Amino acid sequence: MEVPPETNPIWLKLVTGELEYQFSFLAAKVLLTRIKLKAKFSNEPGVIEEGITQLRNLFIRSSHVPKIQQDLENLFTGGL
Amino acid sequence: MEQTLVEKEIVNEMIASGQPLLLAAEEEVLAQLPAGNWIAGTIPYFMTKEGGKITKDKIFVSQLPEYATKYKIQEYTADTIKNVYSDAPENGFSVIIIPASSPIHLRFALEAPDYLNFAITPLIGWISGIHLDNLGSQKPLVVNGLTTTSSDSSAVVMHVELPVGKYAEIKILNIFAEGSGDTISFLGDGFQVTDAIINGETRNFAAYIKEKELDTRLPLVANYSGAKINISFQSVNDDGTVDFYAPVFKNMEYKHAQSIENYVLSFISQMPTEDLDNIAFSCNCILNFLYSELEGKKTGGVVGPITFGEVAYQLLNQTLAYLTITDV
Repeated sequence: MEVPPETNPIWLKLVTGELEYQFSFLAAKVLLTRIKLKAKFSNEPGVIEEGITQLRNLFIRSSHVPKIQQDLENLFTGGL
Repeated sequence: MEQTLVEKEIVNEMIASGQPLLLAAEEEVLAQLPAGNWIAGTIPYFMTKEGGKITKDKIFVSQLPEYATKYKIQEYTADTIKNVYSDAPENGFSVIIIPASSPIHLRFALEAPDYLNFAITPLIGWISGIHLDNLGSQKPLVVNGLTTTSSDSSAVVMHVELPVGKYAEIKILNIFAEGSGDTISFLGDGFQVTDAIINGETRNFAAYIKEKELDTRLPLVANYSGAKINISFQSVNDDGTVDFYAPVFKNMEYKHAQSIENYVLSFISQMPTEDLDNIAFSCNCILNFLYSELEGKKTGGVVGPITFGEVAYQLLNQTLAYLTITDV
């Protein structure tokens, strides 16, 4: 499936920690943890939006990877 | 995708054929190699199919697959290492070798998560080292095979593009898990700390370690959304400071690892058995080699240099890191 736009609320839930999801791809685990830490403790404006862009970029770049496709399906098509 | 420990003469032939190579060996051996499409780091410790080995004469070779025909060797300084993720190909991977205890080692360890495109493309690699008997008298090096020049202050990287239909994935094997003890966090980022926040209370970390008699062979473990990431202890010092082999990060929560009854058995039982034919590169930590007493012991099919630190997107400790290439 195609990577949903940044406006999809799932991205925000992931970055803020409202939605806890165990990714199967190591890059997503490492990147999301870093983003969540920054989003939680940084006072810089735009940090959440930047985190959403970063996470989505990983999915776009790795959209051909089966594990990423599976995570996309689980997250965005009600598979959770 | 062959990974083997071989004689210098065989490596000479491989270099002459023009194929891209990832090498690991002692400084003296690497200095005798001709120019070619290779990068290398210094180390005398290896995991081989026959078990853990220490050798001053042989070279560990990771040959890239034949279809990896587009690649680029680049050197990075402490000032340019921030570009390492952005320079990676659209579909492929990058292998980095960094000399231990150099400014670029410290800088990469601390800053990598903030670099542009961090974790967007696979970056795997290792921290080069020396024989432990030579600590203080010899420097870890990396070598750019294009020029055969060595450096104790730059990193070498091979960026490799993969054809459509293939993808690279970095995986790790960490035998350690978070213990059930105190939650530990720190006031800042760094390789050295004085104070820690233990269950919300700030106190001297060295004193805490001594009071609790923590086994410092066991790392601190952070949970990265399900991935266990270690920070290994280097020393607990009389001046109240504690040194680590990788930086702790502010606000990250750590737990001291659960104790392990038998390091070797833990290691062997968790070794990957699938994917072995797809592994293009792998490396394991010197602390696993030492604490598990791996010299002469077989640990399954994953082989490679034993390192002073592993890179799987960011710097790791006490972890086996490996890269697989798979058909989509």
